Amino acid sequence: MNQQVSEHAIVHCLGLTKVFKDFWGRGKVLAVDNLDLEIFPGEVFGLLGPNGSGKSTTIKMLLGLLYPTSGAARVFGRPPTDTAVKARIGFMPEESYLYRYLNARETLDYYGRLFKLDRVERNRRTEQLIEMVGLKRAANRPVGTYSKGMARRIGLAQALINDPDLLILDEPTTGLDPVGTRQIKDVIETLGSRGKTVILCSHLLADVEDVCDRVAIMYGGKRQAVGAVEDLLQRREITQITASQLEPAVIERVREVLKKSGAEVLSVEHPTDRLEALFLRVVGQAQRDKLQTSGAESTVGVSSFLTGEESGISLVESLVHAGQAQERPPPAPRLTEPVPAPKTEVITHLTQSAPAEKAEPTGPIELPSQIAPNKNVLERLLHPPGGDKPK
Amino acid sequence: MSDPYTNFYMIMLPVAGLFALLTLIYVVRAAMNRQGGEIGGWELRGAARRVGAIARTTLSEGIRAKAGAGFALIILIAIPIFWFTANGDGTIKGQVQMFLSYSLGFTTFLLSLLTIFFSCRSLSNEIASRQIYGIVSKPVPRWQIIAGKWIGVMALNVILLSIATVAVYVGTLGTIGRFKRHLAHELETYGALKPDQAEATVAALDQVKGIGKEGLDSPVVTAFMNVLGKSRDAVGEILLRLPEATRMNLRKLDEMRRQVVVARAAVGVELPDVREEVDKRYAKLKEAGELPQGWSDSKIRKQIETALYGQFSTVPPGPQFMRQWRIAGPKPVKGRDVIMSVRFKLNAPGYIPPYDEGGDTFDENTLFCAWGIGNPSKSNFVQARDAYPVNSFYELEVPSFCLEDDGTLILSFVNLDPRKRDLSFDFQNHGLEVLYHVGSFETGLAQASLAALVPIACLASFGVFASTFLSFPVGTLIVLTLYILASSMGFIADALAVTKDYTGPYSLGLEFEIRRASYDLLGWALATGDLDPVNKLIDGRAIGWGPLWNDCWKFVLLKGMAVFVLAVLVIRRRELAAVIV
Repeated sequence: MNQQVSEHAIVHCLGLTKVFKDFWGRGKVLAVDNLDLEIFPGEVFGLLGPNGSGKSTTIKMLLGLLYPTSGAARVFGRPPTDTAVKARIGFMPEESYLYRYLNARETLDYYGRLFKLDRVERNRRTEQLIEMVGLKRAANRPVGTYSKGMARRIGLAQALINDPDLLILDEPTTGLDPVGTRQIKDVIETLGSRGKTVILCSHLLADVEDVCDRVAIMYGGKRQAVGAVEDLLQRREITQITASQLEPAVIERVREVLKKSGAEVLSVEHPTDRLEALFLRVVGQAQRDKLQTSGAESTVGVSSFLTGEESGISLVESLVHAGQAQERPPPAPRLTEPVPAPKTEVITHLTQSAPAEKAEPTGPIELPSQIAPNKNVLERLLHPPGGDKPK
Repeated sequence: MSDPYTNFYMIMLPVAGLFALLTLIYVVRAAMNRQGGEIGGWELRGAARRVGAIARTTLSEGIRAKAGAGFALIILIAIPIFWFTANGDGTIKGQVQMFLSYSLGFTTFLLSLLTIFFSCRSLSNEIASRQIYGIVSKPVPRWQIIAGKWIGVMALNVILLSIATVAVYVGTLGTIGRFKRHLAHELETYGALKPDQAEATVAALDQVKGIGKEGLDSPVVTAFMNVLGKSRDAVGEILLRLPEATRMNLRKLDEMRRQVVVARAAVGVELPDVREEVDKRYAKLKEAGELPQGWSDSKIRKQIETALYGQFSTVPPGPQFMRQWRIAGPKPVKGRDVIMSVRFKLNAPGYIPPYDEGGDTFDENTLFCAWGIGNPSKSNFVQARDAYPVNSFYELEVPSFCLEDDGTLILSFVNLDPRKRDLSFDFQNHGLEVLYHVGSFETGLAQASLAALVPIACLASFGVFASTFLSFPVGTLIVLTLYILASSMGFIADALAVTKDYTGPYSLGLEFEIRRASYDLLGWALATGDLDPVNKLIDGRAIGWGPLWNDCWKFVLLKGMAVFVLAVLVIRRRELAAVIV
């Protein structure tokens, strides 16, 4: 999530407005109101906002699914209805609208054909993508029999089949289990590190926060805030120091030092793990123990053609392009499970009662009247402290 | 024309014109109001792959979503049912004709319905269930989407029609085969032939050539003679021992060989150019001051023309009213067994009682006439005299040596019936024509199938166009209604009072012309095909590659393309993610 930002915006919206009209031409809904937006190549951009704020509408206007009432949008310098630029775009809609009677392979093959991929390439990418999204066992069943999460994974796969320069994801993590969510985040990070642009549209803020470079917050069709995540989120008035296990006496001395220098000690406690990490560990262990599942498998790792590890000329090309856009080499695909933790730690965590809060990404939590340091600062912005404190 | 009518039109026409103008303004304004910006190019490179992909998916949908399979099942069940139940007049010829008629007619009807459902569903379903997002976000131009859908629908139709055609072909050969086995069995039983003799005799039926003749002169007998090595009378004796039904079917089988299971081209009598004569008579009437009052000039001329054609077509009884026609055909092919038939229908109104006097016996509803075929002054002149049935088609076979060197055939005809009835020929409706062999049954069947495919292709483009802006149920209902309207144009002509019964001195005026014009416009707009393949096939008529190509050009290429262009224009304008209730 690190790349040089060039001057030419990949996506440019100028005064974009959309008014939905009814059959008689009367304006009914002002969905997007004079939106000005620029998205630069190589960044992961998050479009946030509550339901009905115009995020999906903006995305659809960028893809040519809707036409703006006024204003203009440009994608790769061309209007959204231009068909040639779509070869560089991958789109994952908010619901997977797939052909129920085709199976996973045929679906990806079909979309691959629409991109004019030749057979060898198509088969290669199809196999890699199916493996990546964990649908290998279910690959020959008709897509209509899939669960929602599995359908979303195929939706992700078809968005990636053409190795897009611009990936547009509309509510990508809705309906996915944490493993799938982690996977989407990995894909986004991988693509970001390869210099691709990703536009992410969501109201699940924890996920957005983890991966995005810049965000824009929309409400009522208008852009309310825009900027880099770090800039928006940093709370400069608080400093947090993390140290290894400290004796109580040492803690007291640190408190005195701080008090003497005039700072107020807000809290001293053990940081808690995130439920996501716990979940991944447990599931990873189960997978290593080779327990059966008929649903989606949880794989971790990103298909090699996306990470640029391809054979032949395309590899050189992709490395050259990747090298131009970044400072460090692409990360090796993580084909192993996440950090295997010994099982005892799991039990310890589960039985430890010191932090008496439930670790959930959203939702109000009852806490003792301590202000816990939490990463989800945006939530704090929206919910003033002193009442609910979600982690 | 009385005054209330005039006032009515003076009010209605401006009002209608105003509505039309407002609609036009609305449409033009909406069309110019596109906010989408310029649309990208045609993307011709790789178009085949994309269109093919969409077509394949459409076809899979049709097959797997059980619509195609269901229709295929109905066809495959219906054709055997028809095979068992088609009887016609009970003879083998009737059986085969009815089987062909039922199977192909039913199949084309069913495929038309399938096409309507399937094509109206193709795009509207995808748009409603938003699967179109996945396609429009790919580099696929909209015209390729429409093309893919159309090709997918037609692919399903081609598959089903091929299955049906093969089934019909097999069924026809099966009927003939069944009769042959029956004949072999009877030759053994009644004809006292040995089994291998019987088989050889039956096999000889395939070698029969030449025109049909009565009784012992029949070419069937000739073929049997050659196989069995017996004399004509001996063969006749064997045949007499067979049951009457079998003999009748044998005759009919040979008729079928010549007239049904074959592809023939037809040349008719051209109505003469009577314009000069019309002018002469018009001038004479004008001089004598006998022009009817209140009629327009063109109407009077039309009446005179109709009267003249009537004279040309009617043959009153009596040798003094002999008629002669020249029909131009292709040059005769020398040295081949070219069979030609003169096919005619004598029209005589009313009931004709049987006649039995002076040694002549004529059945009821027949007229005794004489045909002369060929040049009377030459030696290749052939005569035929018989009491021919009226108001139904009859075929008279003529040897090819009757043709002139340039392929013209001279026909002479005289009405000699003692019951003194006028008869007429309807030249414009195949009342008199010459048929000659141009191809085999396989050719004819193939052409009939292709001809059946043309209106289906046209319907498919209508359906795909409807699905670009209508939802599935609405679109299907509308296209189905239009299809039913198109099939019942005859009824509509009656309903709008524009048929020939209603034309005459009283049907002048604007209101008739408006009705006539709207009927013609409706017919032109809704027409999906010109040929009548099923009826042609059971008469053994070839459709001809020329007319077939013409039909294809008019309805698939011109009309279909026009509708295709409209569909592309609509889908390009449409906001596929917008839901308008």
